[in-house]
Amino acid sequence: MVKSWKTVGLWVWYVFWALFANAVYVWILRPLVDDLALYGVLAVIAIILLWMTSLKRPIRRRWLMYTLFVLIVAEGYSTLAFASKLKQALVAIVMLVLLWLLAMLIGRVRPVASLLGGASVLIAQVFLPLNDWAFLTHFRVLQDAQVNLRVQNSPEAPFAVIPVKGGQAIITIDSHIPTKQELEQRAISATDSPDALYNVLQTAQGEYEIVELKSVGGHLKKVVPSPQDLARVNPLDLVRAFFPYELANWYVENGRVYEYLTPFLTDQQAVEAALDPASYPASFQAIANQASAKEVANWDDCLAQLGVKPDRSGVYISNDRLMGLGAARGSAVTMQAESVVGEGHFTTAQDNQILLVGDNSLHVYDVNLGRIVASYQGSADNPVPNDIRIGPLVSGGRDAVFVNASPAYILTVSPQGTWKRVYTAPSQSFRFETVLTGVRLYPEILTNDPSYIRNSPVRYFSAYRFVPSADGDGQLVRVWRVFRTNVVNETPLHLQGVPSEVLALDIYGTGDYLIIAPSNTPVLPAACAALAAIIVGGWLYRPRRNEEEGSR
Amino acid sequence: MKSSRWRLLGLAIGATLLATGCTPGVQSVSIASGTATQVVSRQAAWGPLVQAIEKSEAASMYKLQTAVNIQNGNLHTSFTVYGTIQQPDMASIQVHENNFNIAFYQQGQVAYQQDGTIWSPAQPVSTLNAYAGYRDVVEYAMAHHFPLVQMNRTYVVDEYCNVYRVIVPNGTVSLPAFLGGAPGASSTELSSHASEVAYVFYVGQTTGYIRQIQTQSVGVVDSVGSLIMQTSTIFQDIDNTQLAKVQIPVSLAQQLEQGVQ
Repeated sequence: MVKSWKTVGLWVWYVFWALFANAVYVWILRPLVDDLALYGVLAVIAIILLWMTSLKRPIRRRWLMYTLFVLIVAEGYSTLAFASKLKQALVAIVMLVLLWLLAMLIGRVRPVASLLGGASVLIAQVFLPLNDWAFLTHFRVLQDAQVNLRVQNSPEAPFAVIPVKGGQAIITIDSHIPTKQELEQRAISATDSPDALYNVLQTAQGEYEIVELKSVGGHLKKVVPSPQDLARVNPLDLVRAFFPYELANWYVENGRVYEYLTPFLTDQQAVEAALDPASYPASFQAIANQASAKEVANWDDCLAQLGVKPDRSGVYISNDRLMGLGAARGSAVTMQAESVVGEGHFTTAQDNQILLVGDNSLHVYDVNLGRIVASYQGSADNPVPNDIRIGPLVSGGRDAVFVNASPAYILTVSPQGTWKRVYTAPSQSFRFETVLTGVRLYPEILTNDPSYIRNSPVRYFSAYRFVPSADGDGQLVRVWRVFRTNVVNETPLHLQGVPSEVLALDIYGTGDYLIIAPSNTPVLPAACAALAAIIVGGWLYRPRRNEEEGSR
Repeated sequence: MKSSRWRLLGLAIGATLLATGCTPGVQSVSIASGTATQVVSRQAAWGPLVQAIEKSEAASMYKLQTAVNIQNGNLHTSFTVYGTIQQPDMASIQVHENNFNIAFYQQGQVAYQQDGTIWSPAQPVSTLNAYAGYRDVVEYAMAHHFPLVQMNRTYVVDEYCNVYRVIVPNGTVSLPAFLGGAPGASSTELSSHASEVAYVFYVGQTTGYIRQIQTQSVGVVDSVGSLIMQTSTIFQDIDNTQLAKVQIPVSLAQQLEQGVQ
């Protein structure tokens, strides 16, 4: 009985170490190298050597091999990518067994305990992939799911956020491959134009379905969107990855909306445009406007087939008019602007104002005064893109404008309507993602930015705090960094059934999306303390020479 | 004793290998070989640029590489072109629109386009001068007394270039024929609905040809907002009869030899 308890304890310890070693790798060792380059490598070597000194001779080889085994199993599984779950599971099991045999052969590891440890890192990754463990240092991961994309034309899931009862939902795309019967049926009935058959067959393997990610008990679930929800979407939010060169063609079938892509220009037109480089700025501007008009018309046509009219949520711009104003949302004013960035308080901390992007310019429209109270004009050298975020710099303060140009910068507007650039990013690839308020005493400015020391452009998901200086400018001081790259489309979201605001985000190039919520649990300090305690414990521990087994 | 020395050596080699992973890597080659950044003179003379345009327009053959990059939110899309042009009516080019690829070949009245692997007959393009159009920019700017700015000397492809920048309204260059009557494509609409365009000309100091043109502008699109648009066009092997000669694509010749039109 005593012996069996001891065995169970050993198994628990092996499983703990398998998960903990991988957590240390993702939270401590890899970030050191990612952020501090050569210094980080030296620090990692120092930590590993320190740990090895804590392993006494009789157990050193076994624990070194076991640790390598669980690290390799975890890393190996995280790089597997099969569309079919069965194939994924089979390959994972084969990999685990082969590595386990190798570990037993070379490291003479304990068979049952090691197999349990290896299996535990696989099972953990079914819930949360290894690379996404990085989020756990500062967030709770509420959901890690995916839509199917063909990354050559859609490297990330587009997020069109719409208001729904009790919160918000996301409209996005999901790959749709018709069944053989569906395809046969469609092919044989494609008779209405000379190229109908060609269109059906040529795009059959590359179609998407428009889906809604809707909160069901705090979890996003993939559902077929209702016509009323589709009516709220700006279709141009769904086509960013290939606009304007490829056109999304939407059609309705059995109450669902499907999408396939075709080149916007005919070959002949593409060649003519290509051979006239002097007119590129004008021709692509014209092409983009035509593509936009065509997409909107196509979307509205689908809505009509579903029996609804466009019902764009919030305020928006249509044909140089700002729409959706007033209590009944029926008012509109004429405005030289092309899109709405968002609502906020820019010149005072109270008034309701709308930030608009126009012809290389920004405008602040005051809803109460009914006029533009401040305008900012970009130049050809210093352009204003449509990639802009809004948020306060200090708690309860006026909203600032975060402009993702290269380099990115922050603008503030004074109550008199004068603009000031208070911060310019030190790196060309620095990006502002969103501003989180209500988590800490100060607003957290979320960014994607590269290491200051390495010359690699790889960006990591980070948070900064704005610290004003005496002359009105300021500095950004890093609060935390999650060493996860390719984190895009960070979108604050209110979900039905979840009390606080959550963040939705995409992992670029995969179709994976996550829902995360900020957490104040000191995960990283606790992991460091645990590692230190294990090393010190190892120094104090004296294994019996003949028994050749240890508590670690 | 001996084994510990080996171990130390092994550790040293291991550490070196690890460390090499973090040393500065080779940067990827960018299509724009040089970009001028500093303004040298705010009032440059138009003479050298006008001469370069005249000389370039008269070039009989050259290779061309262009790229149009559009920033839309956090995403970038691109349109790139690689080609060889021989005056007055021969060309072989490849166009990449995001992930659609097109090839085009023309000799006189004969023209073919390739989608995927199959070539099919196409309409020949009437004017095959990629240098045409820049004269419109310069003449418009001179007529309106816009300032020509000289920027720092920059190396492009294989020679140093004098760099000139001028900012003109959008829509000063005539559009390709197929966009002629399109809504939103008239010069007044373009100039009122898009930002000005900065044209940067790189004039070769040795050859006197225009070697590179970059543009920076902001396109404004309904329901989308402003899109930063950057283009770069590089000319090389100008009048080099060995390298810039248009040749029939091998796959086209093979297809036609098999009797497939």
